[in-house]
Amino acid sequence: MKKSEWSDHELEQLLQQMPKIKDHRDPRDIYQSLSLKTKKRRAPAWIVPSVATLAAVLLLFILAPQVWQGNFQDSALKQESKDVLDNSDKMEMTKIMPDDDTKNGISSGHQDISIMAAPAETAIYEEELDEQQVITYTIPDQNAQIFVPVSVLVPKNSSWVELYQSQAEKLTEEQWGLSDYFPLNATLSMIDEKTMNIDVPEDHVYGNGSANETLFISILEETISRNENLQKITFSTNGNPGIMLGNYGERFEVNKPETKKKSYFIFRPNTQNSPFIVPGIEGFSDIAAALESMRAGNVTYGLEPSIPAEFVFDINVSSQEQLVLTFTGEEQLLDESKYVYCIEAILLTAKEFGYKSVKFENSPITQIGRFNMENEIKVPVAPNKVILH
Amino acid sequence: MDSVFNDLYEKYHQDVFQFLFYMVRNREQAEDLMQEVYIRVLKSHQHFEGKSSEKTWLFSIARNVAIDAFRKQKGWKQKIMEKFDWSSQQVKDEYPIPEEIAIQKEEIQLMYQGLENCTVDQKMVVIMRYIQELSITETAEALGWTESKVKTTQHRALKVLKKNMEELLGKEENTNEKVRVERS
Repeated sequence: MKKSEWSDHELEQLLQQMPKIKDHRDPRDIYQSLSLKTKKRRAPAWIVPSVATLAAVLLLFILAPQVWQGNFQDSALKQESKDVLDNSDKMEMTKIMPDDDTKNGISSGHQDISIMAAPAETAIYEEELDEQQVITYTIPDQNAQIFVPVSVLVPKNSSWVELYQSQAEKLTEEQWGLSDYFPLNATLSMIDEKTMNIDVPEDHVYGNGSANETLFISILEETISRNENLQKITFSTNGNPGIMLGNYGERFEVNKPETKKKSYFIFRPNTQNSPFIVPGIEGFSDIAAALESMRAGNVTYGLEPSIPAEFVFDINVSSQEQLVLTFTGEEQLLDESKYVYCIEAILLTAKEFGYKSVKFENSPITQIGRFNMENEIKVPVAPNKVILH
Repeated sequence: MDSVFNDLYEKYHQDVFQFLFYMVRNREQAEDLMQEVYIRVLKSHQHFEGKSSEKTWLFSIARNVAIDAFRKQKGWKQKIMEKFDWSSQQVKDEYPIPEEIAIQKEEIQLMYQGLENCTVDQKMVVIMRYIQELSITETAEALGWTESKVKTTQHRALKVLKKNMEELLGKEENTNEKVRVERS
């Protein structure tokens, strides 16, 4: 080689002399292979294996349960039956008071009984109020013969009539084995502090037949006597005063009825739920007669006795405020829900007769449910507490 | 045939092909990469915004394709093999000198060989600036560099190239001398 030193300029010139390289291919060939390549790219290499994997996983899911079915069947069955139990439990919860008798039936062994929660009461008591107010609905049973008072606790700050209508939408009457009556197909408003107006549309159904009318008026009367803040209900139809009820003619208002003093019974419209404690049909002028009726029940109307035969006492009416009952029976009582219902029925009946509390003397047991049998027991605020969801 | 393809082929095909050829130093691979350039170009042609000239845009794609090809070539397998196979580190040029170069004068062949040992960046600048005869601005656009980076890389590239060529020449003369000594 002649030269061993190149200047930059010489290098540049030399670079420019580098041969021109040509692509000799036909542009059509290039384009063709190009479109082939772009098409091939549509299906990248990972698609086939991933589809296969997916199929395999699917197959695994389909086959696995069958392969292991033998092993899992038992536990699956157990799970299933447990679910059923859970469900029935839930139904009780949506209802009112958990029925401890059914719980006893489910749980086996004595240990369960010992850790079991105390039998639950059904009514609302003063201690629970705590800045809340009570709304009591009167719901007819499916034969429209028995009125079941059902109470809900609502916040105190809201207007009573608004809550009365809005809570009514949540009532699950049919689930409880009662007839679906609420909410009323009407607009409710308070005219003054003690008077509620019911404004019904012109095509209302409350006047269709005498049974309907009687039921409607009875429920409203019951509603007035059950809710302390009501004295009177007035009617209007589409804004105009009055309501047309076939047999009654045009009614303008319902007043607080004369209170009939009633005794309370156990009513189980739906055997899966806890019972309601409801007032009976007859009225009594004497507490002793009322309590006596509770031992018998009322088969015609499906009312069970609320005082068991072994729950024997003498009645001692010493004051206007307090009813004293002295046990005379020999039998040992247990902390069971049937006695809780019994005491509640007695308390509610005592309330009808104007007593503020009941005192049990000579009790063979110190505690039944929430009730301390050694102290005087205040009558409930309202019967049949329900929690609406 | 696609009108975009036709248009691009007419205007730039040979230029881009030559650039790729000098980058990868092999006709077959250059042809493959040319294909890749077209695929990328046709895919993104509607996004071409005209910010840069069509020519530098095409070159920038070609540059990316070439760099990707180098990366692929040096897959992890090769990298590991290289660590264990010291002999392969000596061998630089995988392909024989192409026919087009072989028929040229000795200095050109020497330069072609000298280019081999430049870095990829240096090679790109040298090819674009002197063989493709792009301006500094165009080169900067195609490579996505600043103009000053093009200038310094170009300066450095020429130095390295000169050194490479001198080394190659020295070796050749040594062997020539040896041959002469043996003969005498």
